[in-house]
Amino acid sequence: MVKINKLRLSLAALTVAMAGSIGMAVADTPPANPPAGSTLDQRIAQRKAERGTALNDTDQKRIVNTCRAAQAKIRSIENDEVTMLANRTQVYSSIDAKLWIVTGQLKLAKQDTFQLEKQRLALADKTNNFQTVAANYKQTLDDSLVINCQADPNGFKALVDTARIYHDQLRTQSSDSHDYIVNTLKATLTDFANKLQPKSADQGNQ
Amino acid sequence: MQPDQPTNQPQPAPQTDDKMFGPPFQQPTPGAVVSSANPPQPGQPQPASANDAGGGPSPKKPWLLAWIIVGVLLICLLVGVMIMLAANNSKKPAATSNSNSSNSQDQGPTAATSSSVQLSNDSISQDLSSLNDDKDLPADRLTDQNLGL
Repeated sequence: MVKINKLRLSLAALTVAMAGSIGMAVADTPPANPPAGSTLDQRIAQRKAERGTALNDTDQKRIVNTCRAAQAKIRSIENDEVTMLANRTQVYSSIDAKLWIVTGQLKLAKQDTFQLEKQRLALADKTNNFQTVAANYKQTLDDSLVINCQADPNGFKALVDTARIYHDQLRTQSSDSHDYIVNTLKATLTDFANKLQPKSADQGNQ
Repeated sequence: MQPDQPTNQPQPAPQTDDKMFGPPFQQPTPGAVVSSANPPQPGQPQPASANDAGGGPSPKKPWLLAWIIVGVLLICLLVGVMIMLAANNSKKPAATSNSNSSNSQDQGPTAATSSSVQLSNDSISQDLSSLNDDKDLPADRLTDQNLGL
């Protein structure tokens, strides 16, 4: 009897653990890029499916009561971030242009620029990814402003959760690009600067 | 044979010279119109009219006015051209002062030197320093608490 009870308990625990892990897996699924030309309804359905949003009655009521004010705050956040994202894109473009010029100058100085060009391409990839995520983030914020949140609190919650994921991705990618520039690209440029330093007379005689 | 009319017989005065009564109805004639009673004679000097004496608008005055306006416009044009020339001259020294740097850019990229690479490196650092992740992308921007959800 005791063995049967133990078996039941362990089965129940296993079921709970599996359900939890499935839920976690859905919630952790990274948001996919919405298809080009998709409608608002299609995007909301996609986000709901990705996030597996199913609010209970209490949470639904809470969201219905607070979502209008939240939309006003999201609008303010979006206005700020559009300028910030445009500024970042401009800075990355400026760095890319400088790398182009340095690469050309180094080639004229008969230096091997293969490594630097590879690093520049890697940075360009990072910048492109950042811009894609930024576009998706902005689209999701737009959708969360347009949705009738009181009629579809689950859709609103799914959109806000998706925007949070994109926001975190922007932070991660921005930090990654920063580290890459500082630790890799700038280090390569410093190596070139050292290599191109005019040798002193003593070093030339040795 | 009819007797000849005496030539010294006084002729009846023309009606226009009737000083007693004058013409029964005479319309005022404008000054420029010459009276038919006294047609201008080819060898005689014309009497000076009131217009010539400066009493009213003369036909030469509009021409004079037009010449004055044209003259003023020409002067304005000249002044404008001089101002533009002066402005161009003042710009030229600034352009020549940057000629060294612009010439080097016009000639295309020059071979890298240690200092030019270091300058580019510093410039990239400066670009990077304008980005602040914590300020631009704060982690708590979209939290439930921040959105009031």
